[in-house]
Amino acid sequence: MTGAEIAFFLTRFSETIAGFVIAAGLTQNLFHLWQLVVAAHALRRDRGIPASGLVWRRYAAAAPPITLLVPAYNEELTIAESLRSLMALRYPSFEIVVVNDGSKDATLQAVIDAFELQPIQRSYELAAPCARIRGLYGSPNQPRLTVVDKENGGKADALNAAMNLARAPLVCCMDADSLLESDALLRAVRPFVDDPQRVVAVGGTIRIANGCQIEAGQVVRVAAPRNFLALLQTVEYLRAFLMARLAWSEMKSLLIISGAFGLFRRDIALEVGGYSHGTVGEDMELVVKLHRHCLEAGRPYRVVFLPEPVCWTEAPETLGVLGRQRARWHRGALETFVRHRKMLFQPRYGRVGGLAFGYILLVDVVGPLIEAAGYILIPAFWLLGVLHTDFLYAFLAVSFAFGVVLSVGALALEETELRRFPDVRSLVVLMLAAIVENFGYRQLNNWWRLRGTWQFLTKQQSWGAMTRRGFSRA
Amino acid sequence: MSLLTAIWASALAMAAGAILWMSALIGLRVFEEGRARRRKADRRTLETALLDAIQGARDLQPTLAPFARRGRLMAETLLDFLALIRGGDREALLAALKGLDVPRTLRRRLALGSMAGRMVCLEALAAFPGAETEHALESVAERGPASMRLTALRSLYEIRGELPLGRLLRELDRGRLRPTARVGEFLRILVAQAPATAAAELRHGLLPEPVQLMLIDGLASAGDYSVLPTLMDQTTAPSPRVRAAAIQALGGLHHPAAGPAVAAALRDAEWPVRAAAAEAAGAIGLAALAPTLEDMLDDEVWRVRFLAAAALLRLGPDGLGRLKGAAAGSNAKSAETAALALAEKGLAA
Repeated sequence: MTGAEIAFFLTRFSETIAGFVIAAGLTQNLFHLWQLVVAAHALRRDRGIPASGLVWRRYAAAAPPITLLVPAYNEELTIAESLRSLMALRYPSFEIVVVNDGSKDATLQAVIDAFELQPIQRSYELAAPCARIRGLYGSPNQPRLTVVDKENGGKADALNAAMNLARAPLVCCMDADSLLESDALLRAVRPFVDDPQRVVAVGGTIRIANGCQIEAGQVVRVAAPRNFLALLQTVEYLRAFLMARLAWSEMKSLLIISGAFGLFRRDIALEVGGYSHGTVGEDMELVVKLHRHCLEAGRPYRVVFLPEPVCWTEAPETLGVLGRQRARWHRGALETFVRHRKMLFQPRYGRVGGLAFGYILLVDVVGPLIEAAGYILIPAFWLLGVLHTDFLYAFLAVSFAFGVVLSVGALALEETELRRFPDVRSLVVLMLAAIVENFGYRQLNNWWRLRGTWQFLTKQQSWGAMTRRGFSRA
Repeated sequence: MSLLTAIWASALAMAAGAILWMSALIGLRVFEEGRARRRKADRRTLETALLDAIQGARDLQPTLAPFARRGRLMAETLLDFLALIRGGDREALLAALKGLDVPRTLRRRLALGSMAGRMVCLEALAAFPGAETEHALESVAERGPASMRLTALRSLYEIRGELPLGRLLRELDRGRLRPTARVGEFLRILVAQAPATAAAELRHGLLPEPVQLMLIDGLASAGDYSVLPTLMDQTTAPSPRVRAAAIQALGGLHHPAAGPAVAAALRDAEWPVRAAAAEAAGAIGLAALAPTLEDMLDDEVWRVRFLAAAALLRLGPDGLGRLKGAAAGSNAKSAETAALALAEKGLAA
């Protein structure tokens, strides 16, 4: 092959790669833009969130009982306060099943002491697989509280144990350190009341509590985080929940209900075997199983996202912890995709198999690989002199501009329809964050996703240490 | 324009658009903050004025008049008040608001503004009976959006103290209302007023299954024994969901005449029916079914076993004796079920 032929081949090759990357990026961005429009339409349609008292007036009498499933691992310092906050929730009928998942600290003793619990017996079925249960605790003074002490098995295992013990028709899966707004359950239960035949799962919005004022387990004043990383995540969460999840829900293809706050019909969750073991994306996997089960059975069903019931969570404030979390999330998505790959583009799975799984294929499976190729090929092409740098800069500019539009769009949805941030200052800070996150943070996220892909390919199973600073409580 | 220029232009246009959008939102927020403060202050003023109205203050016109045209604010505040006050206080408050023509404002708001605002006005209108109010509510119930119809019908019911059950059933049958749990709750109230009508509708068997289930549930809470034969007929319906609901309803009525139907249901092939029958046997106190319940302690389905054990516990000494016997017996599944049921109640096996 002559030098001219090699140059011609390299040019064609680089053009093909560039064309593919541009087409994939453009498709993804246009799809996100479409999601923004869909989400805006949904928020507009359901605008004017009724006050808490009105929701109670309308829904309390028809609201079915709920069991809150609270997995706890090494939560000795905060578990009692978290449970007191949960017990104060405004909901007509609920019970709490706390699972001490083989904690290495004195989590169990902390709960026993705080609520004067005694060993009890309770009849239950091991419908969902879980590690050995060592004992149950309860008290006549706290009839709504049951504590399960079991051997360590991870979050999915703990949730399965709690689901087995639950007796209400609906279960609310959450984290021990999630802060639910006092009316969150009542707001989240609305789809189950409005469409009791079809709704099988409901997810609520997760918001970042860093920077907010918290008293007695409740966020009493919302503010933008002071920590830079948490601030960027606040914008990211708004985009993920108010834009993406709402749009997926409208498109009847919602695949993720956050493990921090989700309501499920217990009977159907148990029909699919509860949470699966051996995956770090157990929350997504359960939702995919529900879709698959209902579609295969030809049963009409709905998985719904609601923007108004809110659960607050603490976001990582260091790059190390955040990186581990994001890599784990990505690994979880890939694990779910591979487990249920048969659903991809299969007509019997409708939009879930076509649209939602197609999206995962493009964004989560192929996306990081394209990106990795880009990191290698772009400098290589530049060195070989076959790169049109003018076009590269132009397309980078388009990509950044899309990113800014989407972030600002999500913030606009929050501002026009929900308005949780109380002052102009928070809004200005978030607006700046919406621009800044496109320069560095998004690229870091991509790097973490690549790491997640690597961990998936090398079959790493660990959760990684999740250091939390703890809410700054008043 | 070259391709390169076009790409740059679109990038810059998007970025500029986003920045303009942001600036507009911030500007709007500055303006809105003032409005929100005023709205909060208005609400406080209105609450104070309504409290004055309750205490019989005479000249409230100057204080209340500015709010008389603000339907949503007035409706939300009023509903909060009405949840707390009764009798003379309530009358005084409503008289003051009628004097300001508030019902007219609420009626007008039914066709204007956000859905949330219209809904709250619909609810508040129930406090102002009268031909015009009923006409407005009827109009929404007939021609309004689906999401408002149920609320309109409930407000009509609150005003009239009754609403024909058949009307709600026709709305459900025609698909103008969906069988939500809120409809079920309303239906329960209407069935309690007309259990015979509900029983007749059920006997005709023409309604969709979700509506039949709601009717059965309503009959259970109505507490009228005259519907017993109808419910017993339903225990042989082809749908297991209907059979289970009918058995559950019979359990809710606590009438021993349901015994044969419950006994037959204990042998049903569908586990939800067996579970409902076990629960009903315990609720009614059908001691004659204790041997069957004891057999069910090793049913293949956990929920049936659990409810059979719970039923035995409710059947008094005979049931307790059988549970203790089962706990000490050789059938491992029955023994475990019985022992756990006893332990859960703090009783020794």
